[in-house]
Amino acid sequence: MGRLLALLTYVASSQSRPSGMPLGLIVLVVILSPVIVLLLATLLGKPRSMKVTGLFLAWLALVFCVFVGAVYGLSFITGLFI
Amino acid sequence: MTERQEKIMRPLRTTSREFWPFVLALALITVAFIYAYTIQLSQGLGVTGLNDITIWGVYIVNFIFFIGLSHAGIAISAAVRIMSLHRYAPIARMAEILTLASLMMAGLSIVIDLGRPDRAYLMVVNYAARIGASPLLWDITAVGTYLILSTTYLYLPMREDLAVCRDSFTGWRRRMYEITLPGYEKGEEKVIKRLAWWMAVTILPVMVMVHTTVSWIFSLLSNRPLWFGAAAGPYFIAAAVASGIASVVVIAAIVRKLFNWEDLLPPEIFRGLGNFLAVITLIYLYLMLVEQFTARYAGPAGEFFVSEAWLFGSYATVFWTLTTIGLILPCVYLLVQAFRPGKINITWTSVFSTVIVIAMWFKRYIIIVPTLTVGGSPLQTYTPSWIELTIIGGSLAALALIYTILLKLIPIIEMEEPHHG
Amino acid sequence: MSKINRRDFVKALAAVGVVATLGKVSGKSIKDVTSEVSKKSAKGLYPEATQGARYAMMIDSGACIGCRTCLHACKLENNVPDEPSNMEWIDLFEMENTRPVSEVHGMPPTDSSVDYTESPKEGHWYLSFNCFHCDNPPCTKVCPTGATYQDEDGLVLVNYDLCIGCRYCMAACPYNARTFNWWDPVNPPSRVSPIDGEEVPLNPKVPLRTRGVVEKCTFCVHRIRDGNPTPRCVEVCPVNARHFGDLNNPESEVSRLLKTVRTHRIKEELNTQPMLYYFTRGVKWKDDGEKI
Repeated sequence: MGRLLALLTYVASSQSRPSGMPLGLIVLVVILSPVIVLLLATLLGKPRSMKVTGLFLAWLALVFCVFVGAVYGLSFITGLFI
Repeated sequence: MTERQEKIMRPLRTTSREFWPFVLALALITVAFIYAYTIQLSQGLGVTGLNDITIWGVYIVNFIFFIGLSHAGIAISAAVRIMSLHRYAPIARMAEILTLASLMMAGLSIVIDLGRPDRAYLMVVNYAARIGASPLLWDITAVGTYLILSTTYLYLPMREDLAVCRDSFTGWRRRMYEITLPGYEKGEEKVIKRLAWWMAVTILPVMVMVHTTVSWIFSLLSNRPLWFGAAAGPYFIAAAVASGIASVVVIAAIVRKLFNWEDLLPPEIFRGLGNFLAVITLIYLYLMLVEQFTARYAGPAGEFFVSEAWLFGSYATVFWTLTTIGLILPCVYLLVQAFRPGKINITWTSVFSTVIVIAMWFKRYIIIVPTLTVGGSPLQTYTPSWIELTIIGGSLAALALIYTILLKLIPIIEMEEPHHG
Repeated sequence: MSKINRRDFVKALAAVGVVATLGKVSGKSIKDVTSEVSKKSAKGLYPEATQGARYAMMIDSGACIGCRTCLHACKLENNVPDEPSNMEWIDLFEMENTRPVSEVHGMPPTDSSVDYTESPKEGHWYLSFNCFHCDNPPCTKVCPTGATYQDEDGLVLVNYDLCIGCRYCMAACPYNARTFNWWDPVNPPSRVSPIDGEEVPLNPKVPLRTRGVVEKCTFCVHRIRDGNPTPRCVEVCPVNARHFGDLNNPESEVSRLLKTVRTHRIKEELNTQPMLYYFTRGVKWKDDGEKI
């Protein structure tokens, strides 16, 4: 047990830089956790219906694709002029 | 169809004579905007007034401004749903449409500012590698999440109204509404209402993170005086909510007049919005005071120099005009109105709301530009070129155009009778 | 060893594995995680990093006569365009003698000049800025595509193919070290050198840039990683005010200087840990331009 503890201590202290968790991951967690809550509420709350849940998820996916597609689309269109 | 539904559907059915010249004017300005942008695309960002010291100018101001306008939608909708402030239900949807349109223009404003917009997709490709570090990507994530949730929040409860529209038309218009209603059946409203409640609850923190991440683009840079600081989040959010609510007041006042919706949009709505606007503007003025005190009392060189430029230097005219006429005067009017019982003057409320919106655009300019021109060395000046001004004006016209088109296609007031209580 | 049975050993191994993974993931600094994409795609643009090196530059601001030979030589060496707008990777400020060197920290030297036409002027000293290749660079953190990154030998570089021109790195740099291609740069096959009037051809070792990307001093990465250990600006300085070397090499000029003269850096409080040190031996230049 003592050797295990020594090993763990060695591994933990091998972090050479004191920066810890990248800040962006914390930001992502803060931004997206309400979305997780929303998805859970959709799937688990009452009254619920498969159809509305399906519609909701489909619409989210659609707008997401439109959003990313718009980035690519704008890149393409502006590229025609440059 | 009820009388209320008839009234709400009026813009969808009838078009006044003035509509076409108005849309034509907006379309022409939008064309000028596109033309100016193609010039910038073919020659480079050198056609702007920007330089190696003033690296960001009115395009970024525009971006922050549009993000600010987008805060109206969920602020009002959430208040209606979560706090059961049903009185404001009639303006909820027109606020959400403003959110949608202004988020689109915000995204466009950023792309316009890029030196190589044809490479914008690289932000998607390298997203996983860079999301740990870059505040720009945090902002895009927050704005994207907000956009996706807001459109969903707009669409789902609107389905029952779209069904009414579908039923009142024939031909291509009926088909148009049918396409928007896959799987619609009466009775889905109960489920959607619960879902909408949860959406309101969860979009609110996302909205807070949107403008927090926008403020972080500036406030995490320790070398920039009056950008760097911890209070940027609340500071930006207060400005955003103020400009957003003020815009909704203006839009509501305009459509009320245009479509004779006096009883659909009773004066109590404007009184309530005016009261809230008074408080939020007061909070913003307080934050401005605190910020200037911090910069001036024993401020470091950079902060003091920029504050000097704001208050007494080259930016003083803009600063004091926007602070006194643009913010203090409307705030005083709205506060006095809040404490005076009786009829409120919707016209003056919307005039002062317009003033607040304009003042907030210039306040963003004051935040962005002086820190760059006088906050470091060497000193520099910045004058926006005609291309930049055309693009700014055009983006506002495009926003109005998008909004006008949308209000011809979808009912901007919820058809359900607002329950009082 | 006999006390630990197999099950415990496997459990311990799993625990170590989890902790090691977490430690590795969170122990990686932002720099590590995010610069890999840039380094991979920048292959071919620059030579491989010098393993184990830590490059630094030192400038004797007392010796500097503000002649701008370094500025012009740098432009010719690195294909920095003159047209349609004049771009420079080195800035030179003219400062009054009464201004102590430390006063530059965080303070806009409003009475300094970048536009002077004659030097050295009586009662003035000269301050030269270029990219400091900071050890904790604020610019690489904010890049949304990973175009700008820090390499193992400390150089902060720009991958011109990934840059989208958002100019966020320029906003983050406390030293205004970066410059932007606002127009399509004009790169004629050769230029007349303002230093000696000779025709100098385009340098094939330095990649040409396009419009809309950021560029800056690279410590002449194409030279120092490829057999010529001296950046061009250091090579041409007529009063030997500029010094360059590997701080990890105790025999290098900069390592020895660091031990013998009192150096300072600009805006230290921002924790950028710049690799450009300033010092002065307090002596003005000799009138005949004799090397110190």
